[in-house]
Amino acid sequence: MPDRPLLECFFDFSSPFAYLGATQAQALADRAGADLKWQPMLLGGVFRAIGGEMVPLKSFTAVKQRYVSLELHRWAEHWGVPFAFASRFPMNTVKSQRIVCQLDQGQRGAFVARTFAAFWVDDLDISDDGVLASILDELGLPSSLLDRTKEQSVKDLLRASTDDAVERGVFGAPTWFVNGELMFWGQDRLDFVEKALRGWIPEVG
Amino acid sequence: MARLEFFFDFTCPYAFLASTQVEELAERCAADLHWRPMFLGGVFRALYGEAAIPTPPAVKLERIKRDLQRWAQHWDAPFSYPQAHPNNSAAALRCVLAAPEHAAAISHRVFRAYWQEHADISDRNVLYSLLEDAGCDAHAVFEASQSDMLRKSLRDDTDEAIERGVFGAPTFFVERDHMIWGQDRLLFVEKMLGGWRPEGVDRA
Repeated sequence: MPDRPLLECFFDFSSPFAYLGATQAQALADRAGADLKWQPMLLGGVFRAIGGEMVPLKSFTAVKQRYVSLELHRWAEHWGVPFAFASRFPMNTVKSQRIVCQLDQGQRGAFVARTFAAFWVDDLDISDDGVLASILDELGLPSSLLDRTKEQSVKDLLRASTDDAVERGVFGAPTWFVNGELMFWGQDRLDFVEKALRGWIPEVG
Repeated sequence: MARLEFFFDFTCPYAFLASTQVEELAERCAADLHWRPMFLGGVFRALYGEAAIPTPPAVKLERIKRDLQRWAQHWDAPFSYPQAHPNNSAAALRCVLAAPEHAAAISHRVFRAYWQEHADISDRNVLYSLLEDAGCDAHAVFEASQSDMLRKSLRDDTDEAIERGVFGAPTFFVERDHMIWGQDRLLFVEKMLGGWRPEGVDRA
């Protein structure tokens, strides 16, 4: 094991589960003395690559859909965080994720937290330039980050990050990697993630 | 005493894992545990009709199976899929209904036979010996399980589950109204038995 364990979080702002997981990630990493890396991806690209439903949540039968959305609220209360199902769902997150790609890991946490909350708490349209500009402004980040989302080199960064996710076996969000290898899917697997950060290696890797 | 219902079918590996934990959990929470057999095939028929039950893409399916094995390791309840899966569990489920005082013992024994010993639980002789292991009068229980009354009981209980919103196994109900799905939600079951009622969902 490395000196400090590494926790990677693959996420997309469009996932309510990723939002819930993201609210816990830093505290969890701190508890386990781990470094946290935010890895943006486009779920649309992932789902296309693996041949699944484009919006899995909406593919469930009505009764299951109702239960799953009810459960999101239970989780929010369990974690002690605010949550309101977004009125615009699914959401186009291309621009917001391209902004993440341009940030250093050290800057990502704040932007990720603020953007997730804009979508899953404040019900804002995070595909809107004005909304993104005000988030950047609030965090003291340059507005050029938004302008550059149109540049090919920035588009390529997000594509590479999404491809990396698919190559490593990601099929949904949030997906966690512990020390680059052990993969866990879901904000409801944080107990396993924490065990793994503390050295647990399941027989089934 | 808080009421805890545990809806299950022997054919579900998640229900098997839950069955290894549910009694201790009920005891910790001083809850009144009810073993509630249901016929999962009937639940799925109600949900999907004749359409095929949707299966996730191969990449996801493979990871889900790994996740399941991690849980088995976590609970220290190793198991593997029998060749004859899914097997017909109706007779075994009716045996649980036929001997309510032995519900826990029969359920544990049948789950173990299915997921650890890969026994054919649809076979009359196999069931007989499992019932004996569970400490009941195998002949009487098996005969009762074949009656029209018990056939109707299993159908009724399955219908009840569907009406109450069940769509998979295991499903728990705390104090009748609070449904919790999945062996990976035992923490929520425990919290709710302790009185937890999330706002806007389980509390007005």
